[in-house]
Amino acid sequence: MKAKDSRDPKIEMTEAILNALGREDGAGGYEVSEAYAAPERRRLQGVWTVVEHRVLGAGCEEDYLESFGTRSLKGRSLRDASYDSSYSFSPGICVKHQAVEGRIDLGEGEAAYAWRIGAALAWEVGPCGTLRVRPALAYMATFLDGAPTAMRELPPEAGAFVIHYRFEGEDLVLEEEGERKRLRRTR
Amino acid sequence: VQKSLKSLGLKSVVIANQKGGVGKTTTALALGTGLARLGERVLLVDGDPQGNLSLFFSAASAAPGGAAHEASAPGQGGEAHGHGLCEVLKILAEGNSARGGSGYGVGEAAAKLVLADYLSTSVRPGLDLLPCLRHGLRAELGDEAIRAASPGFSALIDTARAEYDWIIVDSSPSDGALERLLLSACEAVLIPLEFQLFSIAGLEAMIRDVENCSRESGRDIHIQSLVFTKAENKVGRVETYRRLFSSFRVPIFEVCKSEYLPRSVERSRTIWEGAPSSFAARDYERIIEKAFLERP
Repeated sequence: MKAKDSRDPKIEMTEAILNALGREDGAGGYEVSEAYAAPERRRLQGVWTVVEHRVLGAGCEEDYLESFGTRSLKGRSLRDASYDSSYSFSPGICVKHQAVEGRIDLGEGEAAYAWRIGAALAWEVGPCGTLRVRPALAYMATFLDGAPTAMRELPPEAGAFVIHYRFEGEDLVLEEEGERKRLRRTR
Repeated sequence: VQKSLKSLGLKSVVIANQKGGVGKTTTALALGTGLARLGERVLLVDGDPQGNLSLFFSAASAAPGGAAHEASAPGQGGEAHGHGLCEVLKILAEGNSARGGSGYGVGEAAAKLVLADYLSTSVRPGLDLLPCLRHGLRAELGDEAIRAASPGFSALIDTARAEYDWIIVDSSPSDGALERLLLSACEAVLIPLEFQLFSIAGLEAMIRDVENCSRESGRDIHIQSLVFTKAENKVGRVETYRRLFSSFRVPIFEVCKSEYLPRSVERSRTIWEGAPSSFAARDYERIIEKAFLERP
């Protein structure tokens, strides 16, 4: 479809016109008609649990939890690791939770490790299977043996970003910044 | 991040596209009446010699129930004042000629008098209209007189800024002296268009025109938004158009194709009166909220 479109003279002309007029990725914003956004919004609303989380690299992909130690713990492995993540979409706001827990070897013994993020995201349906998301409130925290060791709040000036979404059967697939999540509706 | 006109301190907006049939008048009507409905003081200027906006309000006041709006006729006083914009431009052009073409040095008080004489006031609560009731405006005035009236008309719009929260100007599908006069007088432009090659090709010409007018008038005319009117999911390659335009530097809104828009006009009602919960009304509501009123 994409290849067909790119050979289409009308699309080529449109592209040339837009290039001549100046393009800046996402600078302006695109608001889809409510007639098309509303059904999509309704379809997205509810609570979704992440059943698969993959990290996408150049020509490869790996399980998020399996590669968590390499990416986030300076190569240390996480034993008995567990992962829990959910998205709760309600009108205008999506509450996201993500937690990774396990046991980590600190050299002088093992500790219970937990990493959590929580975010309230303002969201809108955008064009072409996109969600425009703006964090309203977000934090990230790390715990060792239940005690917080790091806590970070999202800066208030954090801007909007785009998540690509699609439905595959009953599953919802979200793709953003080199990650792909498959979600299943729980409510 | 897109900024609203209010946050930019801009009040005068021309709805323009050289391509016809893209929904300029429908958009001007929906935005003007929509803002007035929210308690904003609005001046609508019918800058299209076809006079459809003026026709809407005269038909609306003649329609059963229309008298409830108690609109005053232009000028309130006589036939000579009945042609709105055409007469205003004549006066401004003559004023300019009398000053040896050095521009119309309209004072604030004089501008208020001119406006008061030619406005239809309260065509809706909070909404005044400068009508255009001369189909032959271009032929009657000629390009030279229209160009001569341009500085005075800009001054008039500047004066009206003090009286109104918003000045919404409808324009005709052309790129002549009249459209340049309207464009030069406004601080911002909103461009309606369709998912069609001809319409998109017209966009290029329109944006070049805005740039030229900005340069010539020495005013920075801000391109506020593009509005894809009559948006339909079933239009061929609509997703490709959406994908391409979503990277454009100007904010873009869609208003869905809706039978409620022409149906409301046929019944001499605005979309807010005829179908306030329709998707089209909600799309215009969002444009008002985000492109006009949103605070930073």
